[in-house]
Amino acid sequence: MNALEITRKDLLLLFRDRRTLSVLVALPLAFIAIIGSSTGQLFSQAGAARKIKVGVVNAQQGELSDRIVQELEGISALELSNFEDRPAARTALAEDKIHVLLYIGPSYVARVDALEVFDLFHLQQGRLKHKLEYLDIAVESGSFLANASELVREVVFAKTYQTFADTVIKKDKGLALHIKRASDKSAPESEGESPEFPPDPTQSLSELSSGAKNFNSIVYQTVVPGYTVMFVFFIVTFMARSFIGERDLGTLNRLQLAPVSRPGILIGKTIPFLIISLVQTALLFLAGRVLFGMEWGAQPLLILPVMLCTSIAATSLGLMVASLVRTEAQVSAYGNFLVLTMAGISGCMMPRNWQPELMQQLGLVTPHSWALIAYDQILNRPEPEMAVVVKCCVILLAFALGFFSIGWWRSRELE
Amino acid sequence: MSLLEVVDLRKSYGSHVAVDGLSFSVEAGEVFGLLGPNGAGKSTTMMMLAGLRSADSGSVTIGGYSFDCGRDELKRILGVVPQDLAIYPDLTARENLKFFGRLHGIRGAELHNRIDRVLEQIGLTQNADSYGHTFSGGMKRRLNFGVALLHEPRFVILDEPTVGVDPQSRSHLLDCVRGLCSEGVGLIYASHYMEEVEALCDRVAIIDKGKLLTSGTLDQLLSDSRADLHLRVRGRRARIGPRLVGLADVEPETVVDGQTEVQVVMHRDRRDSSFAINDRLSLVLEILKQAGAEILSMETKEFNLERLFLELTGRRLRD
Repeated sequence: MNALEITRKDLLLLFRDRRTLSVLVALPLAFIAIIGSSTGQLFSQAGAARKIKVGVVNAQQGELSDRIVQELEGISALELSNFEDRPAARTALAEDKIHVLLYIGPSYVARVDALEVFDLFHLQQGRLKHKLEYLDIAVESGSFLANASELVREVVFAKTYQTFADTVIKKDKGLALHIKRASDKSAPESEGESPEFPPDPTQSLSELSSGAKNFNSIVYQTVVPGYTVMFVFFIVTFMARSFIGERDLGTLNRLQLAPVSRPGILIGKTIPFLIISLVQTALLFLAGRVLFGMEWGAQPLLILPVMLCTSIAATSLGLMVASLVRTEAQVSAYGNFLVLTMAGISGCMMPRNWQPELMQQLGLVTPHSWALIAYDQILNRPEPEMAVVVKCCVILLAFALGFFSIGWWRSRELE
Repeated sequence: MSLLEVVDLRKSYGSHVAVDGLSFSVEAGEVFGLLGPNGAGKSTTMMMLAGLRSADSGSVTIGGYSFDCGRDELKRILGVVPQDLAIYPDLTARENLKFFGRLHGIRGAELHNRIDRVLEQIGLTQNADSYGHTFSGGMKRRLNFGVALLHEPRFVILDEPTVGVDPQSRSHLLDCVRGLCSEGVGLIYASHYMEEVEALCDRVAIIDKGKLLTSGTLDQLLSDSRADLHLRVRGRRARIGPRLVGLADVEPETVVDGQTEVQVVMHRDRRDSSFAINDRLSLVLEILKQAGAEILSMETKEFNLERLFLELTGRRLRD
């Protein structure tokens, strides 16, 4: 009962401390927004910022080469701009005004005319063995996509293939008729003269790029839980400061003089931060959804136990740190070092999937990692594996128990 | 049985003995003064009385309860005014009182009434809804005092409650202490202000190095001591000193306006008969006359609590 009085008092003090509140809620929100903006995923920027800028030099200027441009324009992830000549486009590429340079050479139509049906289906043996090079098409990637230049060439080749394949097939009347019949059988309602051709090799890429919402959310699906977990653990420094403040004010002695037990004092002082932590997490997830279009996964209710277990682990760590440090300076030095190091190791700052295997394993010594694994399971998997979520929650509670036990033992001077 | 019973209390920090077998008692309605220089063991004793430190041995019972047996009951009858302020600066005076009142299990109308009464008692009714951080030093001290009274304790520990306060607040706080005393509350009062202790306390204990040096009522302590007679004399110590051996002490020479002076001090026990001092004084005056010394002034210095304290604990600086 008396513990609740301490809780009530601390909540009142916390609500009067605007700086603490802003650091706990506004700061992580700002961080998430900044990271989102940096990756081009904030509000209306989402469409524009995500696009890959392609500079096109069409030296051929024919119907067939125009079809390549049209195909590429159909990919929402690309933003095309035309250049008069290759040097001008190269300058733009060097200045990072465009990310990719697509050059369609003057021999393109002639090269396509030379193709046989055999070449379409025997890419390794036929004329298309050298792909874009044969077609007199060149693709150059700027620094933005330097590491993905091969992938970019493959996409361009696939799209180009799509544009000329029917032209080549029409050379073989029998095959064209056969494909037309097969197409009519499988899709009787379809109209138009164009026969169906081999499956579009870029279909999956197109789906990915056209699925703007999915791609858009990927950043926030990772950034929001990452920074949320990091800032949840920042509660550690505030808790430690609260205990030190109580000690410095002399009111910790007053609490001990009142008929309140040691567990009462510890629990009373821990609960407000647990509540703040839960509110903080809920607000950040809500903001992630409302402001940034983040999705809560197939089973959003699973977020709740992970939130709770993470906050319990964070506040228990806070209690432990509070019992170990003696001064504000120690809180700043050790508390911040601990919180930032744990966040860095665990993958709060950089997605765990980007980390090397060793770091991922090392991260498992922090509660943060287990929280992130659970959130990844819930937010990013079509069917979250319940066993993984439960395991993460149990491990988070085990961390909490360990931290609380040390804090309990260290605070024995309260009796 | 006394309200507070302290028996053979001991506490050591490593090899340092902070409190060495202290025993005393305080009755209901009595103010007991605890004096001691810095490092005497006063604060450790107060902490042990308040239950904030555990004793190595010995016992403390307040109202029949001890911290080993009846801890919560003891806390309910004990009020502590710590030396350092112990209030929340970001809560108002009323909120501070309310919080600590609720911690003691006081609720509803009773809590409301007690808060109003204490605010009146400590003179903060007009500032009840102002934040602690806006208060002057004296107001903070008064609030610090009020927090200890809200649960109406039977025994109050006051550890230098008037440090750094203005005369008005000090006077108000001392009046509050007297008021509590008249209500039958027992108090132990630690202070460095001797005049406060002399003005408030029925009995006084002086401790140093963890040991009790003396204790008793002020009359008992001061009646056993001296009232010295000081003669300011113009003359040389070498000439006067040897002639007064056994009759008076001659302090080192000082030069005032180019003239050499000495203080001749005749120690006088309060129990000396006036005849004895008269005889001695006549003899001293005669000797001074023979030595050609001119008497400039004569005064009696009463042996008050401060002089007794310094005599018992020494003049060496304490850290």
